[in-house]
Amino acid sequence: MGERERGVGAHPAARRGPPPWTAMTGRRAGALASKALGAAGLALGAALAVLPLVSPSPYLSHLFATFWLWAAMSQAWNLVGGYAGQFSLGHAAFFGAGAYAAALAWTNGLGAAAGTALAGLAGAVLALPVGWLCFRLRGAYFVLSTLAAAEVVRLCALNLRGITGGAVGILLPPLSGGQRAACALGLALFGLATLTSALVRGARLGYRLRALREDEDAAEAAGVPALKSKLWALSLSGGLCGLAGALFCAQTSYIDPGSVFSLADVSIPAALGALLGGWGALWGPPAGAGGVVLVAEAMRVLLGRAHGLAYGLLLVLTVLLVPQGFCGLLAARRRAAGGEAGAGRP
Amino acid sequence: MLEVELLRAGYGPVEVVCGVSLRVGTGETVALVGSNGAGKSTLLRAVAGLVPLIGGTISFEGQRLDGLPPHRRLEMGLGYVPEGHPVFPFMTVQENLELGAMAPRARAHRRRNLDRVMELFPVLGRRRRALAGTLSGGEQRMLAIARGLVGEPRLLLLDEPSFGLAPLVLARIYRCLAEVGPSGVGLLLAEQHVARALSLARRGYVLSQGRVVLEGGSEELLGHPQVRRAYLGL
Ligand SMILES: Nc1ncnc2c1ncn2[C@@H]1O[C@H](COP(=O)(O)OP(=O)(O)OP(=O)(O)O)[C@@H](O)[C@H]1O
Ligand SMILES: [Mg+2]
Repeated sequence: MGERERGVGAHPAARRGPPPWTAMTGRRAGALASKALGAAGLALGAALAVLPLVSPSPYLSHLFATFWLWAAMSQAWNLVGGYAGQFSLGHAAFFGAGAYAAALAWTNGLGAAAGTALAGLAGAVLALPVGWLCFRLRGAYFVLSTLAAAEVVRLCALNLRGITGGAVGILLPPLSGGQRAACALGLALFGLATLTSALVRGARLGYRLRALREDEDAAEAAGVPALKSKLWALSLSGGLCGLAGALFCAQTSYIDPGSVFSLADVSIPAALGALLGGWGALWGPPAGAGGVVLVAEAMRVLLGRAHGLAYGLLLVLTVLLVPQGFCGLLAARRRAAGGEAGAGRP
Repeated sequence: MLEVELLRAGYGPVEVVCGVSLRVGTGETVALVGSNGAGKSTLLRAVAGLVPLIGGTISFEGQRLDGLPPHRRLEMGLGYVPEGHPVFPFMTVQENLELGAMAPRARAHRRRNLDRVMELFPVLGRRRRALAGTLSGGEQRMLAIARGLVGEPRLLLLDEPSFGLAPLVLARIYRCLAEVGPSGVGLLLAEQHVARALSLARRGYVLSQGRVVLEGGSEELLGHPQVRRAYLGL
């Protein structure tokens, strides 16, 4: 095996030491400012979380329900796409499986909680065979294989007419409590996704995933069980996506294979939120999801239904301009301004 | 502790290690020396489970390792530090170490193990919050060794800890390795730096073109005319 030429000279953080003007005072002021900023952000977030729950506007509630849903999806995608660096474009498979599991449970008389639990289980379990197949491949081949996996699941849902109703889809009674209830459930789901992400980040699994993201061969040499770790991540992620599918199903009261297994409407926005916000901080994916929802909404108002185009543009611009996402950008700034810590990745 | 019998391994159809037998006793430091391309790294990779065997057997603490994946071998106490700078450059020093310290067998003593390697390599303690990619080459090598040690191995396979290092740094790393031995951790040390390796180890094997051509006590090997001529330039 050849000598690995890595690190030292090649690392941007090595070249860019702390600038000479950052004396201790400057650093302390910076820390204080960032703390104040964090507190302000938290307060703003709390206000935003509560506002649509008490506001009489159904539009606002709908918008926020949508936002929480995609924030949760991005947070879930981040477990695999961010921490583990496995760029999946097949998360619609888990979302759709969850939506169908919930819809079938509910139309067959199971309770709300049982249907939701089944949806999470469907996503988590489906992730195992999908991961087992796709994780054999790396890079672009992996991405394509996840796309194909979601497509296979969509075709199954389309053709198993006896169970799923095929292209006709499934119609459900509207959610009692309306958009405001959807908004509250979305917030809860987002909380669960964020908690999961935070726990994984600090746990052995989180370290293993990040090692795999950096260098799969070196990680295996360091004793990381690659396939097992990635399957855990995908299964957790798939479970959360399954729950999101159930919520979507409850919120819209109607699902069909074309909408819940959609690449443009499910897989891409889930990935886009996490990419735009960045994987390095817990607030990255939800912040990115906020941007995605706003863009989709703006496009809907301005152009009718052209958000597919907007997503495509946004994806290209993100990858070109902020490959580490906005939180990575901020972390790099902070690193440059003093402290060495920070989890951004150039 | 480690017994390798007639091991054959390689890449695809190319056999690089052709029937090597060696053993390492409990807590023993053993050197594996040979020139470039002799197959030292391949042998260690095969023992670590990263290269499939063509033939032969490996047993560790009386158990056969055939077909076990690398992480299972680590759990049994067989650690491995690859050559080069096998650290994760975008994770901090601390995070790199945690990755090793969270291994199931060592988890209970995580704090103690981390403190111990930071004592062994103080520079890692000082720079624990720095990204590993910003460390110097020597520091990265120390980090890789430290990450191997915090997993509480019973035997550590070390691939060329001296490669490309300035003499001073090299001496420091070897001083640390000399402290590791007496704590009961076995070392199998693949080295081109023959004099260094044999001064640390009590026994050694000389590998050439995938075969053991000489083995014996360190003094004996250092005095052997063939070793003196081929590896020490005397
Ligand atoms: N990944 C690989 N694929 C194919 N051949 C390889 C591979 N890695 C090593 N080899 C070949 O195997 C032979 C032995 O290599 P190995 O790295 O085991 O030697 P070494 O004794 O560690 O040498 P060095 O002292 O230079 O590290 C070399 O001829 C090399 O070209
Ligand atoms: Mg080598």
